[in-house]
Amino acid sequence: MWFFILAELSVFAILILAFAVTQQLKPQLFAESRQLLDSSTGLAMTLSLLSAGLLAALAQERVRRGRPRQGAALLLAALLVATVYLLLKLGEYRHLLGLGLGLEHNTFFTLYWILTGFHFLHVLLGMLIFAWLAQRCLRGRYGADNPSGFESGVLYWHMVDLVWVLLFPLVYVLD
Amino acid sequence: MSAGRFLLSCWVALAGLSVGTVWLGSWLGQGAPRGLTLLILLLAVAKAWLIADGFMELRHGPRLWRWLLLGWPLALALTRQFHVGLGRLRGLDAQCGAVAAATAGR
Repeated sequence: MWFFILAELSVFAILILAFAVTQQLKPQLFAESRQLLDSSTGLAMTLSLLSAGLLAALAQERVRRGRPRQGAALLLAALLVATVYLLLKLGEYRHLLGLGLGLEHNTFFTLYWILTGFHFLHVLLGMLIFAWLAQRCLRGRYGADNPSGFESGVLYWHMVDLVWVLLFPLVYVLD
Repeated sequence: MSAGRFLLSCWVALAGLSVGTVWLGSWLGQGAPRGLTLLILLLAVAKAWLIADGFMELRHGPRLWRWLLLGWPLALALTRQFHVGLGRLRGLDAQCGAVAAATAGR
């Protein structure tokens, strides 16, 4: 799992650096385009992802203590909280598309769509993993003796959070 | 401190740093001090470290993986700042060139 995480982080690093370098080449364009994004929506998305991460970490603790049903409940809560991110992001995408700010509008939005879209797909996969882990927990497949599969799934979500905390200031905040 | 309480403390710190990022960001472009961008990046690195050491439990993990995960956000932030610095130097260089050309023209 750690090798997979490292590979994913390397891909995201290339995309994040491409965004940062292009920003230096076209600072005016990036500053103007960024004003079309709402940083408070970005903050709400951040809090949603981090809260889902907290609930998943708490679920892991319960599974390790041999309480998989409580773990499943916490994971379902994490799934619910992550849905807030999903709805906010889809709302933002719809808003931008409504303004004609698609992938080909300018360099900022090309990189915005690639970077956030790639991350969005990872969040979707993370939510699917949560749902899968929760149903396996309810069937008693994870417990104090065998939490490793569960831990790997939760670790994937934390990687998604880790990428977002770097991506958020770069895309929404920094001029 | 129990594991639950520790995780909750990490989350409170992460939420606080996230709100701080947006608050500091609102000062950008309004005659803000030069180091503000760097400060916002450092907040992002601190958040990444909290996730790696707190949520991912790398504080108990193998040293190599820990340093790789802690180094990832730091390397990105430093590379970005290095590039910003380089951009400023190039701008300064171009300005100096323009001044020298104007002086020589007189």
